[in-house]
Amino acid sequence: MALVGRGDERAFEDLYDRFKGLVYGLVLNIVGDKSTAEDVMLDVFAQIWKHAILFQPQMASVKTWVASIARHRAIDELRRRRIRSDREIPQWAEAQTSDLADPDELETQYEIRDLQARVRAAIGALPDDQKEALALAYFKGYSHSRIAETLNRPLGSVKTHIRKAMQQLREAFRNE
Amino acid sequence: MNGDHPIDLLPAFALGCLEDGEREAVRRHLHDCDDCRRKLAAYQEVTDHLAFGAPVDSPPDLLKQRLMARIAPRPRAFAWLEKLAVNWPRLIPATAVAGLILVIALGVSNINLRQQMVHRNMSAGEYTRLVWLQATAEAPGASGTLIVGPDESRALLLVDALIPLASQSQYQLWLIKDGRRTSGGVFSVTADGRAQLMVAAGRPLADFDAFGITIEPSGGSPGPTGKKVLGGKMKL
Repeated sequence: MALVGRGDERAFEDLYDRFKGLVYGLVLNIVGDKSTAEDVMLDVFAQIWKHAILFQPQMASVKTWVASIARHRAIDELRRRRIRSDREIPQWAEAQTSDLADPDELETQYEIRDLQARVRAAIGALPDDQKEALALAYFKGYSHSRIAETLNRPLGSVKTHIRKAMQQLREAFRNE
Repeated sequence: MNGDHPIDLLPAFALGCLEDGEREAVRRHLHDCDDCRRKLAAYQEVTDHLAFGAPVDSPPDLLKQRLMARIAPRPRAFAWLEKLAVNWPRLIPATAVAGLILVIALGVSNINLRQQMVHRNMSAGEYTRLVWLQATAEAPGASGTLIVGPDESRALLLVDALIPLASQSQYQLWLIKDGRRTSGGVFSVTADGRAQLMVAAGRPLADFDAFGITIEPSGGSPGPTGKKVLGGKMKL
């Protein structure tokens, strides 16, 4: 990231290659259509390029920083365009899926795959009602009331589902 | 809530799915509660991890070419950026700086930042300039910053240490050109004197000569009527 911050385009291309699958998949899951996802992806990486110099490694890892940028940008675009996804409830990746190991993969890509496996397993262990509420909160940026309306559930239930899901995930990640 | 601590709301706060009123209440509490901030950090880490639960997909190969064609040659003189990043903690907690940069860079709506900072609407883009607003004698110790976005017609206003006003009053931002004042929006501050305001000027902010903030009736005035509390000049 330091090299990217100093304007090293090769380093930036490497960064893009490492995170393109993660970012594109996340963005596509949020906005729901490929054309918009591509536009958002360009915005995300263009912003990373411009602001890499301000990245503070003591605050976040590169992969979580990049993912956070992508999520926020995609949700912003979702709201701006008032996009209606063909899937009302975004889907989490299956717990058992994983990308094929590439013997030449970079360390970062290995770290991402490993983190994906652990996160997917933890999410997969959640009850379906918690997973659905969490998906709407995370991928769509919905408030409690919007989630309740979307899922046709009582507001109190949605609040409980979100809270319990996050508590369970916190414990799952803490115990690793 | 757990006693006076909104522990049960922290997971939703980290996710960004609280309603406005609850979010504000939690934010105010976090300002003074180290314990809740620590608990929140754990939930924010969970939120960060959720990205890795999304399905992965491959973008078209052409996208990389489009991206490389889009990025502009980077200016070499970045010392001023680093200096500004150091100076920002005087307005906001140092831990919020990275999140704030993130926000500004993205134009995040309904922001939920790691450092519980800003929930504003702002179109995409990084800032291109900062305008520092200095306090007048009416608001000693106050400060403000106008962070201009990439299309230069939008900006994020941050203020700190302004006195909360009675309900019938609000602060109002003025965009000043050749002595004429155009409203940039009205806002109220939190209990600790902070506020953020998205400014959409409809024209490049560099067109204006200066900016000022006055105290006005709630909802704003067609022109400044009250005391000026902050002011600054647009520097080219």
